[in-house]
Amino acid sequence: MKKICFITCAILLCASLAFGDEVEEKLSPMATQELKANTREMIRSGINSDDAIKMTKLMLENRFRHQLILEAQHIIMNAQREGLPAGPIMNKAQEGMTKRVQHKSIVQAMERVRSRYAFAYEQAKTITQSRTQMHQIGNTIALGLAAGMNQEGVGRIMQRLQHRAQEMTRADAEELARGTFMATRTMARLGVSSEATTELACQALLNRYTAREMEAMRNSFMTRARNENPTNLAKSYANEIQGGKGSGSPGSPGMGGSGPSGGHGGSGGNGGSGGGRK
Amino acid sequence: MGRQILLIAGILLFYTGCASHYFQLNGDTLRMYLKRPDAEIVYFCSSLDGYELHMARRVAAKTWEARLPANGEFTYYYIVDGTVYLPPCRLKEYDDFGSENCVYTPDL
Repeated sequence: MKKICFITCAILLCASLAFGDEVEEKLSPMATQELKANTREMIRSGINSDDAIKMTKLMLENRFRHQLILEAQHIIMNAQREGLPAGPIMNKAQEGMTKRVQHKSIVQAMERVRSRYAFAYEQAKTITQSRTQMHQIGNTIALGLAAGMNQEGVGRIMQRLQHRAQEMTRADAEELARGTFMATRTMARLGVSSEATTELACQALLNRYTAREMEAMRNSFMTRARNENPTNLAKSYANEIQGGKGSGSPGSPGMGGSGPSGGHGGSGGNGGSGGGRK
Repeated sequence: MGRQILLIAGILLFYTGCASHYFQLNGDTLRMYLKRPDAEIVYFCSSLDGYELHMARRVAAKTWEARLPANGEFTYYYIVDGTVYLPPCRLKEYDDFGSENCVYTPDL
């Protein structure tokens, strides 16, 4: 027993010394002792050491104010504590720096990303207990929010999903939630308003769409949105479903969607198709 | 028949020749092309590696190319002569800085 304790302590000591050395070596002489201590704290909280050091170093090189760097580090540590992914928040910092955005706005954007993931993961928790599923569904919701979905819409869709989940196995409910939020994410990315996206998803859920049917609807929507205004298309899908078209992709016979699905491979024009965001 | 050929040629020309931004998937490599004949220097940035700057290669008089691994979806933008440039793209998301990023998905 004593031996095990001794070995554990030795490993912990070595690990902390290693962190210490790495932080000292890569951040000196730019960083203050407080920043170095905070960086070590980030690493101890579970953030990859290379990522923690890289972000701090980049901020120092870009001449961020000391206080703003501390704030950025705290946002990442908070995310880590809440079980949220730190990657998208650190990415946002680097994105802001390459875009030469004002430093304060970068830190504010980092907090917005953290808050978006916090909301998305909270919503995901209401439909699954599985950590893996929660991450998958939560990430999809968060990306939908980044594309323009609003929290109210996500909440409404989640209520419908919970209602449906009562009559399904857990696995089916998780699959349906994934399919639904993937569809809404795609529509939001195509520029469909949050209201129209929410209405369509809720109508599909009310009409007992399965995960496969959500996927078919998403594919069909992607294809048709090449030639039609995406928001109008979403409204017409919702009307068709409400009008009793039943399950399956609206606007097309069966579930395959209309026309060729996807159209990927080879060269893909990125011309942008009508509609769009305001 | 002649009309149909003309129509197909027109569509192909639009997607490969006239589009200012397009991509090609070659095995596990994705090649993104940007037509900016006026540009002196072009960087490609994506969420695949935390938006690091990657210098694009001029492959023709008007066209710039960035090569990247084709593994899943990502968001991206260009920096053209020091200014952020968002090409016309089907899928977008907000960037939290008052602008947008393009989104690439394999089923695009």
